Amino acid sequence: MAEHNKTTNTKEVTIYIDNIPYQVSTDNNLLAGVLSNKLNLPYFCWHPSMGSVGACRQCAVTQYQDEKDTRGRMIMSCMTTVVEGMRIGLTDPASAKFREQVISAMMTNHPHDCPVCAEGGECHLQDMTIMTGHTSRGYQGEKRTFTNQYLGELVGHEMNRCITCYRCVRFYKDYAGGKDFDVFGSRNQVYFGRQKEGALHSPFSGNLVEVCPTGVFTNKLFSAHFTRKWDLQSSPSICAHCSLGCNTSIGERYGSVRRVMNRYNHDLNGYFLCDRGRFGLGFVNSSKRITTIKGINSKAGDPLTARLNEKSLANALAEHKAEQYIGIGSARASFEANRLLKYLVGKENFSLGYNNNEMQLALRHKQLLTQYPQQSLAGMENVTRRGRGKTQHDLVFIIGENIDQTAPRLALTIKQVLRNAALDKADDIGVKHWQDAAVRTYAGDKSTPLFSLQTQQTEFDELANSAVVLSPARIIFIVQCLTNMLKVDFSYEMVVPIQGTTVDEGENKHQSDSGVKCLDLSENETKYLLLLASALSQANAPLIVTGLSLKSAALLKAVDNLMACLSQKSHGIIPELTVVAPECNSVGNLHFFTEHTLSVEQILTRLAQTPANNEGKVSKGITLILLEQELSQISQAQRELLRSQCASMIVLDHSRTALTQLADVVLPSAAVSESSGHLVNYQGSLQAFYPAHIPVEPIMQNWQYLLLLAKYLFTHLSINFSSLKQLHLFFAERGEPWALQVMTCEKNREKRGKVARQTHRASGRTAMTANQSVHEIKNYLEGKYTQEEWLSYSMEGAYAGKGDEMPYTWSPAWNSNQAVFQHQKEVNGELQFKACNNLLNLTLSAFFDEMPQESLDEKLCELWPIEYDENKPQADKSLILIQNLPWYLAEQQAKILPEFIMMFAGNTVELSAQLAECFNCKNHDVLKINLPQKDIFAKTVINPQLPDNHLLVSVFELSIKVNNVSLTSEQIAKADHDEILKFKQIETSRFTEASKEKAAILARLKAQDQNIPISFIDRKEQ
Amino acid sequence: MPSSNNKSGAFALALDMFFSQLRTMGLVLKQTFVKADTVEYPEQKPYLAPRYRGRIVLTRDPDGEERCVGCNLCAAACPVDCIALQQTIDDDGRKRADFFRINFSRCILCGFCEEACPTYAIQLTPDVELAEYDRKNLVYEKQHLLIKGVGKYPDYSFYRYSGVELDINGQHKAKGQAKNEKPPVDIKGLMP
Repeated sequence: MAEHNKTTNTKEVTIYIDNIPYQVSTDNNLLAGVLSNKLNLPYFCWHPSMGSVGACRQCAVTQYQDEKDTRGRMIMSCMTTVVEGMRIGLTDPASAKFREQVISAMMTNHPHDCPVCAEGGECHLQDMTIMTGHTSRGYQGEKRTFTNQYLGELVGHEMNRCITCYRCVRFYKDYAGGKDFDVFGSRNQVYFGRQKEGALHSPFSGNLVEVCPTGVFTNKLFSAHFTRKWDLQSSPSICAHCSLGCNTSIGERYGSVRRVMNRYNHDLNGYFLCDRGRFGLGFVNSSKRITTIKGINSKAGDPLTARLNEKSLANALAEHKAEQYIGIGSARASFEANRLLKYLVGKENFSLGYNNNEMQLALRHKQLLTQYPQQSLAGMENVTRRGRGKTQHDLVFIIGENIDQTAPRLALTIKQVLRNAALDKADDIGVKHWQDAAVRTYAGDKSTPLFSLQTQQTEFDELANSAVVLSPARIIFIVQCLTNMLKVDFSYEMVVPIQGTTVDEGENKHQSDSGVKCLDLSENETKYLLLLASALSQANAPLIVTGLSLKSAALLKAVDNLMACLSQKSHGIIPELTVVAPECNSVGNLHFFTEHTLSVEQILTRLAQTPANNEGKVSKGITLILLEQELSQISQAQRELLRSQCASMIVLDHSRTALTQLADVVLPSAAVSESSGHLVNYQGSLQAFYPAHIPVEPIMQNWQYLLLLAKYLFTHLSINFSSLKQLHLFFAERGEPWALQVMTCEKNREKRGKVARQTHRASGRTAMTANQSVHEIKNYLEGKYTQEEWLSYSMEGAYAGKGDEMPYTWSPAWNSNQAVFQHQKEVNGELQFKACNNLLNLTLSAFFDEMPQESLDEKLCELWPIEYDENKPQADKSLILIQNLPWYLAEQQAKILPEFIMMFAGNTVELSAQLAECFNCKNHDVLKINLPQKDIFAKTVINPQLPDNHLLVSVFELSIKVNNVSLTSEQIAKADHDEILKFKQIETSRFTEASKEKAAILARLKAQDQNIPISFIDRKEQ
Repeated sequence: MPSSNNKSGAFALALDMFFSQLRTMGLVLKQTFVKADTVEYPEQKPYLAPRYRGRIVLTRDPDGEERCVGCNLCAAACPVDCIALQQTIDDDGRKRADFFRINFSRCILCGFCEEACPTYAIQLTPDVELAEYDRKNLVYEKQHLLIKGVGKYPDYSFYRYSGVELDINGQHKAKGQAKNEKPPVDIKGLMP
């Protein structure tokens, strides 16, 4: 095995810039070295994460031979390696003039667009033009023009503004692996776009907006309701659309959320976000938001719309007092809100809204997380390794998780991990990693081995050495076989497994384990297994990626065994496991997960045992409190059963769901952009998010509503705090380590004093509310809940530069997001101040009151028995339904965004030709699938690569939480004529409804702009 | 200084005072027949130069369309933050201000907004009569600000120079049809 670790230790050398000595690292190029010393040197094509190609000639500096050399020669700093003692000039007239002339040349064709350009005010080209001192356009000739393309609902195109830096195509094609975007033309007529007009396919297209140094690519959603960057009131937030917890910066103006930008986090998202995170937050402006309290009436009998009246709330809640309460938390509510709910109802009455199967899954998940610490995305990519000599991943194995769908940003990281082999090859001839074009030319198609074991075809299939599409049960079986093969292999210290015997052995073992019959390996599978086993046994640091989306506890168990086997190998394998959690706070909820936690089934039994009795003043039944939980995985009938059997149902949620329609009381909680708290990402890292603006009452943060519930329903608990900080203190006093961690961290942040959410250039303060009241509004600073926050809702305060909680990225002379290097220790490095790194301590020991006598498996089955075992496919339930929703619909909150709905082509169900024949249907026929959740209709697409018992559905109406469901063939039928008509009508109306909703949202937000809610500002202290 | 016991000094002083009184009366008498400098404001208005910095207006381009593109530069330049607006894109492709509000009770008439305006939309006029009994009436919305004319710059039309596609006077201005622009590049052409 070739030694892959190229240990080029970081070397700091001294170079002289304008005769002043500076320390510069030899790992990166001269430009990065100059920028790391916080000197201003203009550039365009170089990107800290994508390296150099030397296309723009903007970063020219003069290099001198020695001290006596006064003339020097011009070099491009981004293409120059740092050498000890080198002397360069940054301010010398020759290179300064050259840089000015480069801009001047770019400006010959740049249109006169700045006032109407959405990039203006955060335009890298504007910044660089100012920096070089170019002021007026000398060229009087005609300007070159291009026609634009329609690139979909998300990204706008204005090709005239292009300065041909090639960053877009380098990101889209080279970095993110997109195929539908390229560069066309020749000489000075170079065009960046698609071969044909149409929506960009890549889930990372939104990054073009940030990557492009000028306004060629713009955020269409933001442009439609535009405001300048300097006017945005921003807050550091966390993306709530998957479990990765990418850091975002949410911008607000006139009371509505305008956009999401990337917030640099060295360990996680780095410079890039996925489009679900960037655009998906638009759901907070949708008309599905709940803005009134249901179930509590004001005196006149109207539903309470305006300011919250605590008296009527107290009266109304008194009716819902019960002997018992059951609280159901959720994985999209903040960690604090879940903790508080659990405290209110008690651990015996707390549920996470999981059914029995999901409970088993969650426990397996917790078990995996305790054993295998999860790497950060930067750790996987080994960003810090680049020249630092740490073992990088030399194999990637993705098992049963379509990460494109569930965690797109992770998919982008995996694509970088796959470049490790190419970088190693480049190392062999001494080409530096930042020499992007050189590395790609020399080692272009060389990819780290990738194996994909999936239930559907994915983006990675064509990058993979071998990829198979199998049913979940087969995937588990393959992993088990693999484990057995490796066990045998390792025990004999052999490199290549002996085919026949090992496979048989694995099979026999498996059969004796679970009594599976007729699971012979096909020729294809055997080949796959052999390839994989030999590759795995040769790998030094394999990266194994799996997840919970298949809802299979057995899969996690099999992966656990595989990891145990790999870790035991004596000759130094360092396997890393990444488990993709289903939702933004799923891992946080594992912290609350004990053997007393109720499953949905247990709640239903409990409710059935305690009949509701509404006759007395205090009802005898059970009151359910649901925290941002929609229970989308259970059927409507079950939901109604839940409703009918409980005394009353109180739901806190931000958008309308099936449950909010059933509930007695609906309390409108704030969405992620309006609330604060912590979310726990897939690693178990507690990350704080802060509100971008104060919600308009009666919308309040979920923990604030829970505190009101505590005041009127849980009087015996005597909770008497009213802020999040006091909540942390409350739990810290009860000895909970997370609260202590969070408090220390917040204290570190507070040390630097008040930090402004608005920029120092924010405008319109004395005019934006003048149409309502000409008097100066009282500043938000004095607000009731905001006094204790270290972020102010105004421009009063410092700029939080250099820290991990920057509300927006800015630095003098750098108005675009490129400014981030000014706040990093060195280019691409960590931020200068990191307040904290809060890892949630997950232990299994907290799970059981006393360690179970019997095995974990038995205990699991005893606590939360599941109806069927996927290892034992029953004869009558032979078909398996797998979710295949596109990435933009694969999350409940993002699914509300009308632009995403408009991107959806229509319901489809993919199945093999043989299976289609069973139902007597052809391509484009409509199939009806009768699910316990609901009947779904979808267009048939014949996919010859699918196994015969596989239905790959992409149905809008079906929640992503319903996955890996066994079906009987009776549940599927060809739709009759009426149903087809109805289906077609639904399909067309979905698009028209969404485009109507899009227009309606815009109209509503514009009306709202002139009616900024100021009522809460002069609110009387209660 | 003449001392008080100097008789001739005292006499000279008395004489001085006497002639001073006469001269003063003479001057006053003379001014009675001179044309007055003060005017009977508000019946009579003083002349204010066209570039005088008074009430702010939003002007239109020579085609009669709103010049303001809602770029926010005036608001950013305003030292008292008394301009608030929201940009919107209309169906004809033009960007306009959805609302545009100036709080004249805050405005200091410094003219920075006019200097910042890249389209000559916002202009200060020689109208300085901005007194109101009610402060609320000093909040001007777009309909109060927008005038019919071109103001001080009769010829300029931003959108004729800008590279964006839109309608001017109901006619579509495609790519390459702005002033000083070549027709769009045929990116699939093979000509060198």
